[in-house]
Amino acid sequence: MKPMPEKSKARLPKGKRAILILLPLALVLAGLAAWQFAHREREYQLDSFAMGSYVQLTVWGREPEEGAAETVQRIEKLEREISWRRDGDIGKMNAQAGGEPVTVEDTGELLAELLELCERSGWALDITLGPVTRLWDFDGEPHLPDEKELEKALALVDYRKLSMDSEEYWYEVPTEDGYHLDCVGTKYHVSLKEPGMAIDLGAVGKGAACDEAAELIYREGISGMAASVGGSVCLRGEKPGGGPFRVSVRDPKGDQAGSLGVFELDGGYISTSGSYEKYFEQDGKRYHHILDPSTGRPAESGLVSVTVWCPPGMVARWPGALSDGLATACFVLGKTDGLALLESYGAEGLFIDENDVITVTEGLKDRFSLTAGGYSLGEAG
Amino acid sequence: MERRLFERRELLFVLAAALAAVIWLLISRSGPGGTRAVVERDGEIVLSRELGGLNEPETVEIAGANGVTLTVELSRDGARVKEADCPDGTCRRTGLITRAGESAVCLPGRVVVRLEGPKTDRSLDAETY
Repeated sequence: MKPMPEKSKARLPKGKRAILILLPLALVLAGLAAWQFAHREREYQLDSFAMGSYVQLTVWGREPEEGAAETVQRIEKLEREISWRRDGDIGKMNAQAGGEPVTVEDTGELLAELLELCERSGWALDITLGPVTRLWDFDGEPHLPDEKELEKALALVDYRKLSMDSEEYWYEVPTEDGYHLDCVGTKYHVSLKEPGMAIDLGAVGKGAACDEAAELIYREGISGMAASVGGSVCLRGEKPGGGPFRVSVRDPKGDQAGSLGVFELDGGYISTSGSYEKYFEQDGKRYHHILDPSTGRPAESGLVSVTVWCPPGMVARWPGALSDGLATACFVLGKTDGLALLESYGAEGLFIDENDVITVTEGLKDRFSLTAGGYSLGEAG
Repeated sequence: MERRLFERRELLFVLAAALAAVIWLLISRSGPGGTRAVVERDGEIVLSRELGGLNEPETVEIAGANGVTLTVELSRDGARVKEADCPDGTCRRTGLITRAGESAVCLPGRVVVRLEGPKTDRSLDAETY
């Protein structure tokens, strides 16, 4: 074995050698830092008014601005289609009540999901409550309607008289490489059987807007989002740095403090229906805005507020609208039947009754912390 | 003679660079200190106050859309709409908002009172009601 030859090259002084090594390293690091700065995850907040409510979008990602602005436009477009005050899909259906059907696509899918909820809730929700809600006019000048008028309007309320036929059709979507994909779509022909009938999606509109906002997560460069439309919330993706989303629940006894407690959730859709939100007083009696379709009057079920969480992975086309509709239906049903309805859907909920007892379903128990005083926690089921 | 890794002059540069890095890190980490109340009209900010800096409650009149006027009270405890001449009064009934992320909304007047916290430690992502 030959001995290793002694190194005889002249060496630079150690300090200079260090600089020669460190300088390229520093340049590489600076480059990396600059790249990361340009592609860093940012938080972007956009506030706006749409769907007759205050819309707050918080978006995380590399390019959050454009997507957020587009989302507000999508919600405005949805509002045109599903608000009875506008001349979109629902407006047309109401205008043509008793006559020709209206052919729609997305709105039909939403109606199908809601009709099922009307049925499964045992008529605690009715999306054809329009004639009655107009009399109470909670969004304008709320007042106690005339008894006879109310009776007449109530006779026009029946979701089973909303007829809907669907047909599937094929269409082609061109691909980038010159071919096309065959896709199947569904058209719905919707009609209200009697003149004077009217659809009112007021009980689910904000939740439906959350569904529309949720599409944002599929955009490139978006990693997470929290959208609230009125009091309905949609949580998708992840926050930078991870951790659960934190959503507060408003205290029904709002005059004392703002928040009842906080949910820590990994996503999903949340909506609340409470009698404290919109009401008026006449002749010493309080009338709130959640109407029982069987009486046409404010529901009296012993509840003050219901919050519903449709967790991620729930099988529903419009989980946001469903959370909103479920909250209303549960409020009308009361605690016992409401809990059963939630279970049948695989949804979770929080009920507050008139005695300040809070009932939280099993799947939400560990995710809720009560912060307000004056309440006690009851047992579910 | 034993050689050092850096000459004394070079060491000075290294130390200066390290110091700059530490200062930059400190600056980039620190956000606004406490909770801030923001009042918006039609999406535009008309008022912004650091609540921690208020020694006594401050009352502000906000002229909203559709002729609605709100009286907003800001204090160390939070913010509230004290009076509103709109028909529904939803914002007034919201009561005192105390945490970053909470808001009181007047739809007829298109006015929003909300609390913002330091960005690095935002306590709430949304509110349901």
